[in-house]
Amino acid sequence: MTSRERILNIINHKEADRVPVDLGGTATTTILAKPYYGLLKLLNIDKPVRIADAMQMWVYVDDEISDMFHTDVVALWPLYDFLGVRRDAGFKDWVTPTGTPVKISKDFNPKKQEDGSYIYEVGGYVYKLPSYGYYFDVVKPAYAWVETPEDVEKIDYPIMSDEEKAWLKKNAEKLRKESDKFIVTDIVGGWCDIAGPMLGNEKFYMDIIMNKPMIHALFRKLNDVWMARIDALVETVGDKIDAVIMYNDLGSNMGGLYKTETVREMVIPYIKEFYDHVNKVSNYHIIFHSCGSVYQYLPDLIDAGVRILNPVQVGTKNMEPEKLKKEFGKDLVFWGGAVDPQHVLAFKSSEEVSEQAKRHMEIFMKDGGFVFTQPHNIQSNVPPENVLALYETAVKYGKY
Amino acid sequence: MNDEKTTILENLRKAIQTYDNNLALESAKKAVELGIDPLEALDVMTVAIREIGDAFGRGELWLPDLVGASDAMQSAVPILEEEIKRRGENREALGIVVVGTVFGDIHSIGKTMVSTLLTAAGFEVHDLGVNVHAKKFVDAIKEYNANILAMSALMTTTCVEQENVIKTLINEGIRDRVKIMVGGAAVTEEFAETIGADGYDSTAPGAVELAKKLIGAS
Repeated sequence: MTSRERILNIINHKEADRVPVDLGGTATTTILAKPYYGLLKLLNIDKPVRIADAMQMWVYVDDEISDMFHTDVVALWPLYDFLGVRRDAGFKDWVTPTGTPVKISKDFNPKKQEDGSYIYEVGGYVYKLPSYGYYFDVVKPAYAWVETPEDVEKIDYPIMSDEEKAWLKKNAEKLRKESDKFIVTDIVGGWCDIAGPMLGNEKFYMDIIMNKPMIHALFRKLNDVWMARIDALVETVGDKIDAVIMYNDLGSNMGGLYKTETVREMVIPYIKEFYDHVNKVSNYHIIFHSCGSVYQYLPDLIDAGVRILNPVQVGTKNMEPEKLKKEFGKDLVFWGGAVDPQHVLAFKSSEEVSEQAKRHMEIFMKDGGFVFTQPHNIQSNVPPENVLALYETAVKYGKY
Repeated sequence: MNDEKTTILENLRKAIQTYDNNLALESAKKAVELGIDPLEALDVMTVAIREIGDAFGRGELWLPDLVGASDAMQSAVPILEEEIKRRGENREALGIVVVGTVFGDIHSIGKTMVSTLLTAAGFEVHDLGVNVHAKKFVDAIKEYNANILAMSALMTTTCVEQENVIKTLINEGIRDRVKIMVGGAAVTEEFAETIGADGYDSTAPGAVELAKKLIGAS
């Protein structure tokens, strides 16, 4: 059974030879530079850490690691990373503010500040990496001035350049030829995760209840772009990819960020329209990403067409594996949820990580519907021993 | 004057309830112009935002509501505080709190809500902003003679900095001068205990109750 067949099986809620595994296949199932550096050292793999995304400083996962953990997913990365840094510029040496030596794109040229922090300006956004920080965060959103539907019209949001198309086409063909893995790309977009940083999260939280005409206009515009990007993908890479991932954070630790009715009114119609379009023009699967507790929104999301949920942030309210599998296991594939990232993976012993991952896997894997991966990217304070313990659990106990 | 005063106070209340920054700002200015007691004006808003915080705590309102009410409150408070100062009046504070997001972390929404709600509850709040060095917390505690330190950290990678701040306070010999409360998405009760904090709560309204409890004001 190939990796791709394995994933397609479990997406169709059928058991496979073993539970499929993802590390590094999407921008929310990968690992940051610091723990990856530690992992390479722990395993005596003499390779440099190569940064795939300069915003969060997550890495290209090397074949040695992918082979060891039996990963089944591979990413078709877009030409530009989340910070707008080109991925085709070659590498240069750099050291992160917290001391990890890395190879990073030559196109990454942040401005170092007197206090040791870094500033990166692109497309009207200003990002900051604090001197003891691990990622660039938006400190000045590009579209804070947007107040009306007319303002939304003035936003120039590109669909896909010819250069990007050529990059995707070349790399999709290469991946399909050289790998039997399930291929995911994150070129498309999302809803709240995109609109929030565009406007500024605080403004977005307000506007979604106080300035509904503008938010509707923005989601309308974004959805048109996402659907056009799907059309461009179909035209450019066709069936050389298997899935796209869409970003739409709706949850917090304690429950949803928004009233269910707010999401139903303001976001769900666009999600449904997008899913209908993708299903009409392609065979692409869609991985729906939302951090935090999303339990309260799941019936609406399923009605809108959501079938694959990521990152399944266990450890937040109402996101217990038993509850999710029992109530939504027939409708949803859980792409994540192997371990509690906030309370276990970063802070407990390797044995406890392994124990929890084994228990979660046993619950989620029944009748298919589970891709083994941690909720979101492995953060900088996770001991490499815990990363190893996590993925060895999948290898050791993941057989059906 | 009385009718006008009633309208202005009512508008201040309404500004919080409807998350209207402009109404809050204009009403605060009018209150000052008309000579309304700024303490009375502040009280009206305090009651309104407390109701919003309580409803959030009960799960009846959501993050956008709390952010909205908090924003509206922030639009009016500086104007009223300026007037209180000008009149030489004193708002009797429940306690003096130094608030900030720790070094390495630039997330502000939760921290700012805690600041606003603490102010609303009657605390004197000194918000140091985000990415705050341990030394800056120490200096502020000394300068304002604070009796509570409230630290926020959103990420699992930065919540450890809260421990560093506590260690710095111990080294500076001022740990016992303040009650320390910690919060933020990555922080837990267990973590708070481990690092030697005095209290933790997962919500902004809960943080207010915690602050009161810590100084024996609840």
